[in-house]
Amino acid sequence: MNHVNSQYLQLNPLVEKNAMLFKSPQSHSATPETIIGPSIRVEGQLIGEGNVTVEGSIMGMLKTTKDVYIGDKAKLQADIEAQNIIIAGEIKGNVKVYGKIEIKSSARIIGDIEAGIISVETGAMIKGKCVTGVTEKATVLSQGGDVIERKRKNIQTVASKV
Amino acid sequence: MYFYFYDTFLAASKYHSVLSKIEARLMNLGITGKIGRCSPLKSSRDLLFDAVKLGLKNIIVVGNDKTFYRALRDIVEKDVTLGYIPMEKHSMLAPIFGIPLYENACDVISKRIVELVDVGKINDHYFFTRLQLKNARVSLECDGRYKISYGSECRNIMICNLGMSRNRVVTNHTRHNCKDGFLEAVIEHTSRISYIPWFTWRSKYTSARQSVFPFQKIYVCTEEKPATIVADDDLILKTPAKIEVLPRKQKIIVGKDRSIQ
Repeated sequence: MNHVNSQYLQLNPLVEKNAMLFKSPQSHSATPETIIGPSIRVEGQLIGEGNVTVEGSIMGMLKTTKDVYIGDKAKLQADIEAQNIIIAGEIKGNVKVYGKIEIKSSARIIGDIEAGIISVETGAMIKGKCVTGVTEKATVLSQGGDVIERKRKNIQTVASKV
Repeated sequence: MYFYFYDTFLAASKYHSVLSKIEARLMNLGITGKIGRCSPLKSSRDLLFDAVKLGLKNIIVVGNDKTFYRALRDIVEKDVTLGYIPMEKHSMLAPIFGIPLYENACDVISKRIVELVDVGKINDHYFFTRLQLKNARVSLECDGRYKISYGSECRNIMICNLGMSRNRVVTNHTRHNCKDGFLEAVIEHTSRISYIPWFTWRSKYTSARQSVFPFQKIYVCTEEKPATIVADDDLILKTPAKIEVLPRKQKIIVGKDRSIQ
């Protein structure tokens, strides 16, 4: 019945990469996802509730209740807050993650990191404080972007400089 | 009580037999109603407004996709339910709504599965599927929170409510869901690799990449002359434009095989 089928689908490689990375194809998800391609520049506060893929640049703030992927050519001058994050690009700003942060070898981070679980590949560069064991429940954002639910559990501070 | 809105092109003789079959089917199903035929002397807006004044709450558009868009733009602010009997073989809305063509659509009308869908608003006009800005340099400000700027290889910008296009290619991103309360700004990048010298004007395009920004309100303006915005491949407007989503605004009769869930 539905003749909008795969024969006519033009696949967006960024979307496919996103789906593979987060292992949660969003085709039936209610929350829309954001994809910032190369040569796109975003200035301001990008606040959302879906997955975010960044291959361009952001100046300001990036905040979501879901996952973030920072591509190897991405350049961010922003504070980031997300559930999980994979970083392969350049960030100047603080990163706060409630789940897992995966730092790839091409990552360059200048700023503090706060995460539940941290994984760093050989060759990654981090200049800042690293705090792990944060298990704050993911914040739920209302339409206006205000936090409407938060619970704080154990925090284990480990100060380190890499 | 139903109002059947016939588009102008259905006056042609080749549609007479199909229309007779449709009217016979409607009678068998017990869902006949008032018929209004669009003509050069009476606009669609006047016909639809007259129908609403008579208290008719179900307006069934008989025509093609453009007829449906025009009808939706006219009656979106009225509390009516919209149905569709597609009279065009290559209708893009029909499979999305799960509505078969011609007289078979009458069964869907009689079963009356109603969905509430989002509608887009641009200045004082409305759109259902998408807005297109081609080769325009505009500035985009989303939700009053952030601005988007883009390079020269970004060619086309679309504001999508429903994921579909004229060339029957879904601009995928399948996330263009017309029930999620968001519109999506889609910026197309094309990267070009020349394998034959530039002066032969042949080049191979890699797959088009898209950047996608979901939003509820966006302001589009230009620094130089106003850019052209095409709404639903039908209505032509100009920047500056304030675009927003009206969540779950319009009731539409759909079939069980619909792709909007």
